Amino acid sequence: METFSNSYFVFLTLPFVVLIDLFLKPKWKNGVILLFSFLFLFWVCSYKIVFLLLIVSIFTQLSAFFICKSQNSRFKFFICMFNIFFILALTIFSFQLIFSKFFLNLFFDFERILFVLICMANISYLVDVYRKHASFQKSLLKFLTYVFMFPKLLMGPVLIYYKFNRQLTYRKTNIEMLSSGIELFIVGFAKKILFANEFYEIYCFVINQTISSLPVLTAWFGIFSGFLSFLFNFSGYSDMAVGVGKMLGFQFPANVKKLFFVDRVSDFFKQFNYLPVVYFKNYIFPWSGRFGFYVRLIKLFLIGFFMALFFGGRVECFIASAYFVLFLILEKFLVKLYFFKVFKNVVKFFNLIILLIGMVLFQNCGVLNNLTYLGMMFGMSGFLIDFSFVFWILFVKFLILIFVLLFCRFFKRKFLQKKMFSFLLYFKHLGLIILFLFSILLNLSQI
Amino acid sequence: MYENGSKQRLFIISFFTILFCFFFLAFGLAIKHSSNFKMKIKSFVNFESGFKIMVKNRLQNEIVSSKPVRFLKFIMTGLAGKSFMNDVYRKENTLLKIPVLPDKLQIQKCCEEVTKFCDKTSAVIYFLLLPTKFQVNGGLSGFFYDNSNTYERKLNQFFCSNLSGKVIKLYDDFFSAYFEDVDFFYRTDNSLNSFGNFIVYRSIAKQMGISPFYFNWFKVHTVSSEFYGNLFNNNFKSLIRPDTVDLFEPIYEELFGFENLKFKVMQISPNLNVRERNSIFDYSKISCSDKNRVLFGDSAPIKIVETNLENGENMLIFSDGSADGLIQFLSLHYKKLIVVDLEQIQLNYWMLFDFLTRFRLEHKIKNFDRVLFLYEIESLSDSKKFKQLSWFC
Repeated sequence: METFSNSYFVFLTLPFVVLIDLFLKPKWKNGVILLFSFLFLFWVCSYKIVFLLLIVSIFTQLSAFFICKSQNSRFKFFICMFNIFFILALTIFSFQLIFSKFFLNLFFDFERILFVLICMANISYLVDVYRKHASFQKSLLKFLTYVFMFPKLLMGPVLIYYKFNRQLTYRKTNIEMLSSGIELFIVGFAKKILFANEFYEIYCFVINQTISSLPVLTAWFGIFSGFLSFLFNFSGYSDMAVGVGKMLGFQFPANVKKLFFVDRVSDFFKQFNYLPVVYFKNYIFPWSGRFGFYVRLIKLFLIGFFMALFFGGRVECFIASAYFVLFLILEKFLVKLYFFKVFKNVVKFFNLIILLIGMVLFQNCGVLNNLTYLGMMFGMSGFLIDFSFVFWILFVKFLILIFVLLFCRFFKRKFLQKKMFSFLLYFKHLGLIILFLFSILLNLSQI
Repeated sequence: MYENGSKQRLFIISFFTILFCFFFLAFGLAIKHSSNFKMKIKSFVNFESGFKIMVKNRLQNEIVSSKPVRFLKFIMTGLAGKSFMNDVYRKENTLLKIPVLPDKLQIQKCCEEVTKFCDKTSAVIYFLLLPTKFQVNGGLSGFFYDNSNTYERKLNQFFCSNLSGKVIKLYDDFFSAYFEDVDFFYRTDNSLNSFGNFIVYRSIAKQMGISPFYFNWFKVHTVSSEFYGNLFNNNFKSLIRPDTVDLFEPIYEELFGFENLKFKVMQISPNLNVRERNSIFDYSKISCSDKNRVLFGDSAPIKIVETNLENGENMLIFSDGSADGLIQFLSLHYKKLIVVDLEQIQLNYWMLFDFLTRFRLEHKIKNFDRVLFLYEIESLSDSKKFKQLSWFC
């Protein structure tokens, strides 16, 4: 479900919810957001899942109540752990039994990510109350608003309760916030429409071909497009979520810091999908300090397991996760080597290849097909390049998109950050409006 | 540097103005292009897809088929050492013809209607979902790859698991033919060619318990070698090698041991004109643009085929035109075949009302030995046509 870029969301829901929120008294705001969030949920996923999530949230609130009232530390611990295991078990079983087996996207299923995000919010609240980082939320409305708030439901950002709960009571919307929210929304929307969707189309072209005879360069070209599509999807949705949050008066942390060409593979997870990693470090393995090799290994595998669950709990996710964990372990030993310090650019290039191979293992095509694809990338088909007309058309399109990307990066670095060219900022809003119009028209024409 | 509040206000206002403009554009289009309230709501809901189709058609007609692009295409294929584009068709089809698949709810509705029909008859019921060209040639998402998450495959399984009749499976026969590099489909069209139909016929016959005829017992006769299907734009004709239309003429001495099998084909048009002919094939269509019609004539709501086969059975076929190529084979086994196109009946319902009433009285469903539902998966998105099934009970 392409929800944030869907015309009905952009033209109907978004302006109404923002305008209503602007002119409403503060005490009604949470209620309106919750109402729209439920409408959004019923639109995105089936009613069974919504009711299940509602029951989970009410159960969490009850557990938090008992934790708050009880004096017995063992009882508190038992309640907290019972609730967490209940949520985890429910997530795993519902992935098997309730969720549809259809994956319309070759990388992730929004419905599953939404489910996991809501469960993560519940766990965050419960653990924070247990650890006394935050107090028990007496208002059920505020608690449900935190859990079901629609801007963060699609791809995050994952919110840690004790850092966020103040905003449920005290928040203000002003012109600056609204303006910067709209800016972020437009940028995210453009990332999604101009880059993510276009790269995804190129990727789909490659993946729809007979995989066992895929030429080498086509295979690399396809997976690189898929990788870029994945990155821009994530980054675009995160920007849109932060933007919509700002329009409603919330301050969400940024989820994506840097997109590609990282010094280390571990940096990729720290910079790209930053908040889930922080969340898992905070709640799954909260202890800090120097640990032995085995403890660090367990920590990495635990985080890898939960990251795989976060992305939908497919077999391919777990395999890709195990692959990345292995590289993270290897990296910890290799990073001290001379090669890593001197040939930084070569290392960056190898990191990119490692990430692309991880992407092949992650795609939703079945494990055997993924392995076949990997074989094709290393020349098992015996062909180097595809000469079909559509391939060349898409290749030109790919080059144009890369050129636009590099131009944007260059423009931002060389012009916007220098005082000499600060007059360009006067045209920023005009440029954004044109970009938005262009994105809307392109969105309407994409099939 | 840029702290001017009024400009920010202007920015916010223009953002919301754009949103509302698009909202009212959708609303305005809905009001302008629909006659009644229900249609207005429907077209408003479908605004997005309607707009997309409009833009896509524009692009297809004005850019892809423009002279520079065609010239570029010609040069590229020439550079690749291919004088014709036939080698790249399989890949291009995945982009040019994206199937509009039905969702689960639509299939559920179809199943409900078909089940109602099945409950009222004692005839043996068979279902056959023909794979689309996209499915067969579609690489990873295709028919021959064991990708358990494939959407179409899931839909197929869903359809089959919700019905009580016998489901005819094509997988094995198609699979063996696929690796012999036989083309099942016309290169320029989405329908099965005669070889594809022959493979489907053999599967049907085997699973119905009839012994199928062998390929050697037919004489393949090419009636036209200039058939252009609807898959490609006319502007590309210079680059495309046309398809051939082949007919499988039975060698009767081999098949039955006697000279000839006599056919009487009646074709009932929506205005109740009855056209009769003495052959399955309609040779008058060779001169038409749609030469594929030679196989079983024009589309019609009801077609009846009678043969002089003694002790033959009767069969009722519900199909959407994809059965046309199969009749030449199936008619060799049955005394009477009635082919019903429910979509045509749905369209011409009031014109056919009296005829259908009479038809129901004359041809009671109980008189049929077998009923075959033969559809492509794409055509299941219109569940309304299956409501017409109640007329045949």
